[in-house]
Amino acid sequence: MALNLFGKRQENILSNAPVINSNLLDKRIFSVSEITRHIKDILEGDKKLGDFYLRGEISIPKQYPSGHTYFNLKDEKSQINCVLFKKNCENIKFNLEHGIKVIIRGGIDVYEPYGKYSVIVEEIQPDGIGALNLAFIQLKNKLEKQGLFLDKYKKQLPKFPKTIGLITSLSGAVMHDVLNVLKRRYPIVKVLIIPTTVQGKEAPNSIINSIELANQYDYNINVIILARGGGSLEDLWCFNEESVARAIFQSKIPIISAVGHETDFTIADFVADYRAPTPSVAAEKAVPDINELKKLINNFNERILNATTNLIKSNKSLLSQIANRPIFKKPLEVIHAYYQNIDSLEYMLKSKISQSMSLKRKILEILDSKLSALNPKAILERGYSIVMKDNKIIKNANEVKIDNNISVILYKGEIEAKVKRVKK
Amino acid sequence: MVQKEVSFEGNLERLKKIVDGLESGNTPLKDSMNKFKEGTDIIKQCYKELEDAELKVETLVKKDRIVTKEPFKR
Repeated sequence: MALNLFGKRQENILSNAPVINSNLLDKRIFSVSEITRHIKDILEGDKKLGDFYLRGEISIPKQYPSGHTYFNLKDEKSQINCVLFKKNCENIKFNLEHGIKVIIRGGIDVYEPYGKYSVIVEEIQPDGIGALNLAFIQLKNKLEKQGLFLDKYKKQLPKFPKTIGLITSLSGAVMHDVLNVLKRRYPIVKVLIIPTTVQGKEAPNSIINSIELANQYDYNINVIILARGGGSLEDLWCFNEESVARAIFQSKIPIISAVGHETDFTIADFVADYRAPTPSVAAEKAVPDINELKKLINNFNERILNATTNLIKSNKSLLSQIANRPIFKKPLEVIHAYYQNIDSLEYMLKSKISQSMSLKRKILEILDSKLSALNPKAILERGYSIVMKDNKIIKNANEVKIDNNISVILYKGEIEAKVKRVKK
Repeated sequence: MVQKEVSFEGNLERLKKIVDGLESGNTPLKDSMNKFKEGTDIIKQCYKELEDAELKVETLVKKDRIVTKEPFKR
């Protein structure tokens, strides 16, 4: 490459060089250092090459421990070596990544030990997009990849905070906005203002310190509002610093971010547990509305009274229902019913018994009449008599002989007799 | 009182439980009366907390590396 360039400038060199003949011996022989020095003089002496703007794509950037960064800048056809020294690095907000398009300002420098020419980069900015915008996108992508924006890391805001840490500047309107909202909405809360620089070089460290301070246990802060009023991207830049983002992420106390106006998004907003579009909204988000709470408690009060009154009422009516039951109202009636029952049972019992008795009586009567029909006395009554001999009933005349003593039993009395004659 | 240590949030939750329980009508009368008492006590306490309304603002002031709390004056 150096040769190409050397070639282009050949005339120039020749005009300054001693006279050269076609004969080699006549030609002046340079040392490598001499010719390199010559090239350096020409390149670095050129006005155009001393300070120019260059557009291209960064290729394979490498940062060395020294803090210097080396990369190639290329387009479709060519590439050129570039060096970004540490002191110029510090002003660059975005990362030099492979493939990003940039515009650089710088000048050509020849490094003699290697015979290498490079562009010494003085300034570098993204091509087609602002440097801060690019830095913002780069940091956002980086932290997103690391998971700092994930919902699972978002801490829940307390519903009823007792102490709010307000990290903001003492001088802005923001603080008053926040305090006004808190006073109107939830005056029972305690606010601890942590005065913080929220703009300029000091801001990142100031914000980080304040977050760490707010996290100290003895302050008992339940939620942090990190707020700043509107401003340019540069003004709000401290909220796009990686160190600030990490401090927000590491806070044990939930943080509500409210930076700039509704349309301003900062890295802090993405890392914060809740992003409020404005400081006032942050204050609203941080606390409940005391009037709503009072309504809620009123409602509870009414419900608890109603529920209990109803309960008592329904229990009373249940009780009176029970008290009105016949068993309590006319207890004897129940007993009477039993009496009736017993009576009817008795009646039934009696009637059953008398039925069976009369039946039996009838049977008895029949039997009696039958029996009395068989009673010899009855026969005797009718005028018949029984003749007996030796206590034996005589049914046949053969059984007696003349002069046998016999007895004749009559209905009434007995006759002792002697057989006079026997008729057979 | 044990109740004083309970957070406002905890009190509200307890209230909701009590009211729901009372409204369901499944609580025995004696329990209900106890709950009613507890509920009204919590309500009183909640009111008291809400009535204590004076926004307290303090500022952290750093002097010689020592951070102190000071009342904030508007």
